[in-house]
Amino acid sequence: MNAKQGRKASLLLVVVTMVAGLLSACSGSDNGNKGSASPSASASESGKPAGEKSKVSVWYLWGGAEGEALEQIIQDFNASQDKYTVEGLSVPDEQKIKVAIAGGNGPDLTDSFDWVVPQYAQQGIALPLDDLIARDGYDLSDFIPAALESGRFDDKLYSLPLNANFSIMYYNKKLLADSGYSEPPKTSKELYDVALKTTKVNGDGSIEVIGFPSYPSEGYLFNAMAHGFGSSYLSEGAKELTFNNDSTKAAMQMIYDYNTQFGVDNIRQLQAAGKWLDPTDPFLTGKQAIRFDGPWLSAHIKNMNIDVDYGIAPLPYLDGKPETAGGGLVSSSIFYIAKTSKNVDGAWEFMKYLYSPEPLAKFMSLMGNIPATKSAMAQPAMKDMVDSEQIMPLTESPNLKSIPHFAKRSDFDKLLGEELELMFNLKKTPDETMSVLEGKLAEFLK
Amino acid sequence: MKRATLTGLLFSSPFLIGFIAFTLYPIGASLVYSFTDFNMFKSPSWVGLDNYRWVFQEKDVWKSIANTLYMVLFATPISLIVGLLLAQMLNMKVRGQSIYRTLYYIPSIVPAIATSLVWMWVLNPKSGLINTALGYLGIRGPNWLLDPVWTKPSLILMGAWGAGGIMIIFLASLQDVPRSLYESAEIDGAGKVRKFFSITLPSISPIILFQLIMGLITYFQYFAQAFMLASMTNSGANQTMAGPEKSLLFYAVLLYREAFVDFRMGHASAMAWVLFLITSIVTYLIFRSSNRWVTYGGD
Repeated sequence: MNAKQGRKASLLLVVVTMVAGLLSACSGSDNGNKGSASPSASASESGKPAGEKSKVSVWYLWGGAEGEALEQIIQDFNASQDKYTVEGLSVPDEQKIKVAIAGGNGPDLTDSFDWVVPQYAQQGIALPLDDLIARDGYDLSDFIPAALESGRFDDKLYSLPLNANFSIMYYNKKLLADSGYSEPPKTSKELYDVALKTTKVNGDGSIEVIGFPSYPSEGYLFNAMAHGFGSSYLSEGAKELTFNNDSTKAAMQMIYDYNTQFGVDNIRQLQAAGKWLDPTDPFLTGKQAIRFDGPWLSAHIKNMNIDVDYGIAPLPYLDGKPETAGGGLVSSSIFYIAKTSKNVDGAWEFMKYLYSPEPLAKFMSLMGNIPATKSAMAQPAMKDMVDSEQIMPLTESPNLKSIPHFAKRSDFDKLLGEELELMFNLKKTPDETMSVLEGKLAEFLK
Repeated sequence: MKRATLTGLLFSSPFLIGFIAFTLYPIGASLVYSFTDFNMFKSPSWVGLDNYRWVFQEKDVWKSIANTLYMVLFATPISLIVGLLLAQMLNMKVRGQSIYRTLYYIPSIVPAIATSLVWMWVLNPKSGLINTALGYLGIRGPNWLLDPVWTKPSLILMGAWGAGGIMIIFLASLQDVPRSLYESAEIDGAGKVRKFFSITLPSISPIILFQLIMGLITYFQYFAQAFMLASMTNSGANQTMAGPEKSLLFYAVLLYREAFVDFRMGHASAMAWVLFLITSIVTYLIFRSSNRWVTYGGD
């Protein structure tokens, strides 16, 4: 074979290979099914000897003390029955979990947050639970209805809610007392006054103590503040955009004013200086007077033995609208079964165990979360949750709301975050931002 | 088939099989996927040129192109210049020359992830090395990580720190510049600067061409450090990976997000092929222009 023939041959080889790649992609193989079909077939073929437990893999996003809390529940489950062995794995990267599920070698059961349900349902990542619920006659009435709805999309139930969490107001008693406040702020106006007075600025403009709940970020506090002021973003069933109301506008204006007064740069510097829920977290080092965060903050403070004199109160309500007191945005962590799970029965058995009153109460009290079932909330274990006597009464407020599901939820959240960020950075005024949002957010509801 | 050819093919078969299976085949498949709507869980469905239309119309794509061009236009020359200057300095006959060469090279072999983690601390606006040092000079350092204006310069700084790889290659090419050229220039009274611009640069211009193209390709595909910076300065469950005001949304980062966060394989594949086209065109243009400024030895 001379050189010319050799070149022709290798060119032919390259073309043939690429065409082969083209053709096999064209044939449209259903990768998801392929991935799960073969392993489960081989599992049943290998014919497990009687008495050997089948494996259920559970990957979870938590780490540290929270991950250990779940591991305790897993150990309890493994000890309580002979059929399944659950193996837990802490995988803090949700990317990795999604890609593993897509490739067919992911976990059987994993956790996430309720706002992903529309996306995961449409992408086919989560398995609908309706058949399993019907088969076993599983009782859903114990769940708090609003929390349970967060797993429903397109008339199918894709997940069960673990908790019903909402941000509450944590305040540093000493910092408030030093500025003359013996009581936490109750209204929006009081909140701003306290924030102004407790913020301490250094000579060069940098912030020593931040009075506003700007840490960890304005994005983090925005939904809580707006809903605390009584806002509601969408009408029931996500039919209409109700985002433009006095409460939302008040929240936007307040953040804008605070950022204008103290300088975005200075606030960003403080935000970059510590890590959320770490010992370097400004609230934990006594450098933040007011903080909006979930009840897990109490558990973190106790677990890390942080010495900060703090108090808990409901989020401030909009000045002049006391009927909106006790407001907040409820969201849930969820567990869902992966579409490509190789042990759906095992995953479901563990799920039923995890959600039964005692294990759920034990898990939630260790994490400092509010469980999503009425029977778990009533369990004695909940009294062990740090600050439960102060937090549990706040769950009874009728002004707690949740955001209804709709198909383009993730795009909605993304746009909201981007436009608000421009306003937080003082690149756009609240009015300009609101008119942009009003126009664009409604598009996602169609 | 001749025996020699068969033996040759057999010896290269491990590479050929790997190349075909892991490079050629996926490339061909991605071309097909770029004309489909595919999310990895359901079968792909044909959509024709829709994905390419999306690439040219989507605002985020244009933002990512702008960010990427920023890096290509600023970071490439800066890392080349830093690498070349370092190579010049390390070419001087001083005591401990090999120690200096090692020290300046080591940063380039630190893995990208570790580099990003270390630099996140160095760039910390309150307690990081850089701002503390600037503080001693009475300057209030910028918010490197959260100010949209400073996030890309932070990345350029990281890149310049890791210019050791570029430096080593320039160092090697400097050894090949004929001594006689320098000597005759000195006789004619040329100073250091004149010698650098008239002798050194033209002599190593083929290497500059090579480094330029490699640098461009690297920065067109810029991903790891930006991804690290964007995901670490987040709190909570933020998955936009774009950094402050989308300043860290590079083309490859957006491609990754489309593919593995949003599972829109069609979009991502179309983006990949558009990038391939752009990179090919730019490379071709540079090669064309090289006739004018690259002098090969013996001319």
